[in-house]
Amino acid sequence: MTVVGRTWERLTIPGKILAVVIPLGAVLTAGLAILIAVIGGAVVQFLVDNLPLVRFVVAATIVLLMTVPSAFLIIYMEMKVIALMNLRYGPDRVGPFGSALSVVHGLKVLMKEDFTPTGADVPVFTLAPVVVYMSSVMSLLVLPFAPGLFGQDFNIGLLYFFAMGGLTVVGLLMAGWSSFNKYSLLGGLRSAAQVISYEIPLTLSVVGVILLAGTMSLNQIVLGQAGNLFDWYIWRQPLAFVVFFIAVTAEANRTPFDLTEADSEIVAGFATEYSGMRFGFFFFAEYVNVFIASGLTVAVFLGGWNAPFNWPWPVAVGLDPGSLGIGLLLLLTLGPPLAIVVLGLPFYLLNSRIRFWQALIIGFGLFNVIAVAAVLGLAFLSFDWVVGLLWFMGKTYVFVFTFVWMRGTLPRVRIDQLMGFAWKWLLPAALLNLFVTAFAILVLNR
Amino acid sequence: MAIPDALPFINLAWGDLLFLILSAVLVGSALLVVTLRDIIRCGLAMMVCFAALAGLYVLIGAPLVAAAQVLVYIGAISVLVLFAIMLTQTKAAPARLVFQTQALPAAIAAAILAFLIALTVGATNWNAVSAPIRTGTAILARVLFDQFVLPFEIVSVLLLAAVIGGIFLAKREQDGPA
Amino acid sequence: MTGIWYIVGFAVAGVSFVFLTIGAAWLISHRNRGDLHKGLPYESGIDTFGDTHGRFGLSFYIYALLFVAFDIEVIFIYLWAIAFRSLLLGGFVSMLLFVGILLLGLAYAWRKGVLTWR
Repeated sequence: MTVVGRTWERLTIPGKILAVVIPLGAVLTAGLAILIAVIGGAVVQFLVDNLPLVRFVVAATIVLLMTVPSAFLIIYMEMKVIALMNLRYGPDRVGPFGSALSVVHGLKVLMKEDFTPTGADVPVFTLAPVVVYMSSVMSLLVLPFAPGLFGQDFNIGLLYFFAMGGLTVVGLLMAGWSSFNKYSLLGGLRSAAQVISYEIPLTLSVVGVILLAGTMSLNQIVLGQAGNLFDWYIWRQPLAFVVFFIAVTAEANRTPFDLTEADSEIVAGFATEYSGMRFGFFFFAEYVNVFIASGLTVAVFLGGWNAPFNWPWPVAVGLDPGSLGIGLLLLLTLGPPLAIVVLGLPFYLLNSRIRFWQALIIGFGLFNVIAVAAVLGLAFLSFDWVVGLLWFMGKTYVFVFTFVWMRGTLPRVRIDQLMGFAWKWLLPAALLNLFVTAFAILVLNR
Repeated sequence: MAIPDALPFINLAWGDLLFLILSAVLVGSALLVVTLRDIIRCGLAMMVCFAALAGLYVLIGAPLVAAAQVLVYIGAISVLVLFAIMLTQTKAAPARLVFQTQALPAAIAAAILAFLIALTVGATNWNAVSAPIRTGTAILARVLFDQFVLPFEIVSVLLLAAVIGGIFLAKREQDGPA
Repeated sequence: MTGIWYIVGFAVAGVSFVFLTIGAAWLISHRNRGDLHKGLPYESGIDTFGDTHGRFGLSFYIYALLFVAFDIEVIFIYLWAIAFRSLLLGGFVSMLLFVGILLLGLAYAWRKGVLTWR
């Protein structure tokens, strides 16, 4: 055995991994550097010349890939929040507070057997989850995340949104029919009937907002709500908001309207015969739908990326380091050690098992985190899209939490209550709201 | 080096390429609608056909019509058709017979339609329109609600008649001995 | 014109994303044919009884019918809503009439008891 072989034997497993990864990384980096040096200029020139194409590729990639972590986050939220509401622990093994469990779920679904039952109509059976997933993801194209940060701003944005969302029905019917199973067919028909019944109040409830904004473009609607908290359309359209929220819950097939899945009645509805990744995409689409429903509610009624108070955008960092003079030198030399001691001291004082040098190390780590966060935060807050994105996501996840909360709290409605409610209560309410809004515009704007 | 405005070698504009692709999808799926044996697949092919047509509407500068096409034709009418198929179709029924019984009336109808299309094609001055006319949605709305109010109201009467007729027939079926 | 490219390109990208994922899952997952019983439809553990694609209640169909009528109405209302500020009273009255006539259909359905699930 050679020297190399014996050294290799003695390495631990992380050591073996590092011994492979580091040389490989070095070679790859060198190769990449040479590649950039040779053709980098041409590539950059190509990208600059084709900005619209680059914008499309970036937008499509971000929007498509964004659905994956969003779905994982919402699944984790659902597991953990409902567990806490039920006085259980919930996931607590994989990752900190079990936060990696939804990723593990995703990998598990990826590796499960994807089985097609006998008698199934195979092409239709395979295409059904594609249609369901696509119909929700296509809507993300017009959702305004932040100023200047959206896939595409259509004049008929809302109409496009509902047209794409309406395609879900087709996927559900395809899944129900092609599974060759009574439960599936019944579940597919049921959920299709539910989705089409609630689509009418959903589309009619936003007409009040369109009347106020005078446009169907989601971006323009958000811009129309600029200002503070009281410029949001929810204050002028409270009835529309209630109708919209109920209808959007039913559209996303969430509790209390989750008759689509109704595990206790029709097994899993249209998804009874599905397994593996094809089932995974139904599951995935459901959580993406929760995100989209929350995002649309926020964009239409709660000001989208607008802050609830007059936020000074962009934040101007008007501090010139040169003006501090000798103070700058003192700050740079004395500031960090002082901060480290101040941050570390509480740990030393509060816990007798921590020695002073350990407390100093903790203080050093904390100081670094705070300093980096402060510098990055200042840098990013000066971009309005970062702040906008933060507000949008914050509001959206409040609604996601509401959906989860409803699932943890409310019982499922019966199907007769469900169908009657859409046509007998929500539709008249949406129409009433529409005409009252129009009448108010007629009287006040004269 | 930017991407050229037209396809290299054959000098085909990108918009025209999209038009060709969409038309091919349209014609292909329309053929599938009438040739496929499984009636559910026929219905699904019809949806693809409608979707390609919506794309063509966008290409000629009528996005609102395209959205209406997707929302109403795919989202509502095709779904109604699928519902109807799923509610009436059984494996026991002789589904194949449905396809061949009305060959002669179909041939006559097709001949008449072909004649009408030929007349229209012959009567149109094809050089008149060279660039797509873009009609703003707001202008369209103003024209509809100013000059065409009466047809607009008649549409609602038509829809009312359809709803009442459908419910009447369905209710009779449900209450009857069937 | 960029809009249509975005929609078409996005649809192509999304569909290929889904198929790539399903294809990757197909490559790494295990499969076996199993026996005859594996492919049977799941109906609470007993063999399928009767016609799978049997007839279901007509209630579904009537909801779809109402949906078509009101979906067409939605298109008109959206068009009306963005132009409302230039139409004012005339537009208000004509839309009231339009919706009123359609609501007669809903009232008829309600009266006939179609909206009540059975």
